Amino acid sequence: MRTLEAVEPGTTVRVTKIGGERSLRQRIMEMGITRGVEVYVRKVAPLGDPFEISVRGYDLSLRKNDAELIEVADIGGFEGRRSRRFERNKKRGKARWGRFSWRQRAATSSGTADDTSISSSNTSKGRTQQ
Amino acid sequence: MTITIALVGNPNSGKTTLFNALTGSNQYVGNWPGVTVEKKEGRLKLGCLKLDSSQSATAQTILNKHDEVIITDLPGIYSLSPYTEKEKIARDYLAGWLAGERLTSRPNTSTGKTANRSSDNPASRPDLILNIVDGTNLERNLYLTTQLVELGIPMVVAVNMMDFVEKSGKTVNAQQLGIDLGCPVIEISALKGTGISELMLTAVVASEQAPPVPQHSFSGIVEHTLAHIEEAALHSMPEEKQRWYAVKLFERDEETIERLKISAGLIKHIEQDIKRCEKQLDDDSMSIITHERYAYIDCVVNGCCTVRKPHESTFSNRIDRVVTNRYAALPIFALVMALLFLLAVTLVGAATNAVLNTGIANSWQEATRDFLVSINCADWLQGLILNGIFAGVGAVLSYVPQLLALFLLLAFLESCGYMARVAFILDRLFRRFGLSGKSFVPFLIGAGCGVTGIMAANSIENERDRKMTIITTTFVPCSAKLPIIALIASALFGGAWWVAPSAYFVGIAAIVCSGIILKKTRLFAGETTPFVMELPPYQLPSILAMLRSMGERGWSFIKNAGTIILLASIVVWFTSNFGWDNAGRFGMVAMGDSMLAAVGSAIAWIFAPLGWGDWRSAVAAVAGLLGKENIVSTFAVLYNFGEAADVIGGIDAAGKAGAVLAESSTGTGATGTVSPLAASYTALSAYSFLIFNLLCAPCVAAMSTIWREMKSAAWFWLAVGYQCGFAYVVALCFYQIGSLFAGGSYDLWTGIAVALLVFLLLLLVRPNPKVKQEKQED
Repeated sequence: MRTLEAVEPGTTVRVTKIGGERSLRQRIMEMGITRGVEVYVRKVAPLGDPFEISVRGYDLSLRKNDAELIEVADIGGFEGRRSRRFERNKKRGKARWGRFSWRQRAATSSGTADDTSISSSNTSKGRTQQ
Repeated sequence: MTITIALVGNPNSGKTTLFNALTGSNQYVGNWPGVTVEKKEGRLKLGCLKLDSSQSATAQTILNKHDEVIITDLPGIYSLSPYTEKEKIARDYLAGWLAGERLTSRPNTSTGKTANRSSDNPASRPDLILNIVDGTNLERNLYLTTQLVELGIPMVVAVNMMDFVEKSGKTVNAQQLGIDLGCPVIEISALKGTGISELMLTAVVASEQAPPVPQHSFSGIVEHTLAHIEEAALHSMPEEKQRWYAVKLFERDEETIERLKISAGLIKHIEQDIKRCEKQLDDDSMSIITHERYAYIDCVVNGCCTVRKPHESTFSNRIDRVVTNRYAALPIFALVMALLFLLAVTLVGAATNAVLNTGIANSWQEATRDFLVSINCADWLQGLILNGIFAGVGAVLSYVPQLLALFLLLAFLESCGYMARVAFILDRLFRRFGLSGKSFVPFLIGAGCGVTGIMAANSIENERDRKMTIITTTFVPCSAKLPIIALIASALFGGAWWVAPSAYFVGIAAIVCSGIILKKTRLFAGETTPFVMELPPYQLPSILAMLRSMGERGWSFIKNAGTIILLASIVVWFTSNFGWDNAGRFGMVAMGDSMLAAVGSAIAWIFAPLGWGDWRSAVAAVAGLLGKENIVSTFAVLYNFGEAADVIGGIDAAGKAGAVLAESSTGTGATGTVSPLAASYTALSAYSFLIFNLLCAPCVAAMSTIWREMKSAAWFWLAVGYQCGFAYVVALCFYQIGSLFAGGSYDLWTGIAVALLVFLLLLLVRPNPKVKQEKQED
């Protein structure tokens, strides 16, 4: 199982489990990091720690020690491997779609991108992780 | 009869802005009983209610029944789970567990007098909860809302920052949200002032209506267990309170169990139900509740507003790409700090010194002197007024402009959101020596004045971090220590440029070493709370808010530090001018016979190993306890230099005094009896003196602040004792080992110094005992 600490910046993942002792876990959950929520790892601080993540519509700073307690699962396909450069190129019409399947490309370009791409990627790969 | 409204919300949700908008200047700041959490209460400005619309009829009738509407600003909290003091106090207040003392005096505007009013009902709950929610960040904010709605108190939700929401093209369906939550929801923008009238009218009307019925429900088995608990243990309670207590019992909250005095048998009975529930959902009860609250919030939020996808970049994110950039972050930070100090200390400081040290201050002194002479004022009284009080007041006044400038700029940085980024960037560095990134702000403020720096440590939630920050904040040279540095630099090092920066380095090194050493002691070891810090969106702070913050900090400096520094100046003047002369009578005496000199001589031997064992230095050090800038004036007085005696604490003046004192060393002087400053110190002993005074316990004002913030005598003595002990050891090692290198002989004290140094190094590098324990357990 991957933990949040091992996720590379620019990736969205889904939380599967939160470990740690009771008050620690409670704190993390109260800030919105619960089972099943999507977390986007935005960047790492200049000195290597802490992380900046986006969850439930806001940005949060989380130490590596605490991130180690959060087990995550990759979101397959488009959402998971979304990166800044890809986004920028998409805007400029220069996006490289090599990694993604035709269904995902179609979903994105139709404009109702995000919701349909998740469901389509999930159905195409089968919902392996929840 | 009053209506009490409790203002509750997340940090950074705009609560303070709303509170200021609602109460204007009718605010009172105090403390919640027993904790160092700030309590703010204010009276509603009825002017912010537009009582001409139709819905205001009901509100008007209600308002007529009451004298006033009091708003209590609770500290910003993320949830009512009691892990920090702020949350505990909020929960206690809302649950009615507090022996609620109101702030006792409050001006009664109709009579214009302040009235002493005891609380109406000691354990009363507020009449209404006003929950402020950040519209750009609804999900996390609604978590607290779901908890509040269960309390059984009438409630209104205000969705703030609607101006931001609209600007980014999103929408919030307030009506739908109201239905989903079970209470009225009003959109406002506290900054722009929109929606406030509607909000308060709704609030006033709601305060007399029934409390909201929580619309969120947990999953089947949880509801079943909750019903069980209500039946078994809470049937005697009023119905609206039952829900919240049931949830608390389900979460096994110890304080609830204690307060309700639930019997052990009953607890066992409930335990079985809870365990069954936990087994089925494969999670512990607290997590189940938290998870299910968010599950409900997910549904609500998807139905009533546009949600931000996690990977979306907001405007703040784009700014952060530069500000917390891997390469640019630290240089930008250094630039901002340099700018801060340039503006506050150099520019404003120099301007102030120019004004105070020349013309104006002197002419006032002359005028007063002439006046006193003309009315045949007694010598001692003249001395008291001119050298005691004037010097004291002058010292305080000379700092105020610099500090105000520093506080204003800091308020700007804090409210625009940059400080959170600084904590984010520096956290790893600070963690190396036992602190957290949030400790940075107190250190920064401490460079202006230690008193306000220590008070700023209040915002750190982790108890251990906070205590450690308080102990180490005063190692940073405050503005009162700058005169000493200037004096020693010019008198004994010929005005060398490196003395001042080296003092800051010594301070920073002291913080780093202390952090490492203290972290490894039993008192401070161990890491329990996660460092989870929100990075709020950047925003342009309102000028009013900045000025208010500057005013608050500036006023607390003047009040706390100012009074004590003034008193200290008088005390120093008194004890250094009075004593028992040779005939045994008490009166004004020459410096050498004064009380202060007696005290100094008595303890001078303590400082002998540090290289400065004469009575003057000891006296100066003691005087420094009363206020660091007193060291300069004491020196000037003790070395009998007239001009320097008029030093009122400016850096420039101290530098000049130092230069003059240094000059006097070249000539043996017609005076002959004066021992010049430079002759009684060597470079080493001077620097050792500097180190000791920089690091040892801060001035009385700061010490009293430490006492207040630590809340316990034991911790206070620990803090002060550590500071003095550390200062002594460092100065000792420096002097002894330094003189060894300078060709001195090896004697007992050198040996002791070496031993202490080795001990210090050992303390620094020994492995963290807690970590060792964990490794052994593996």
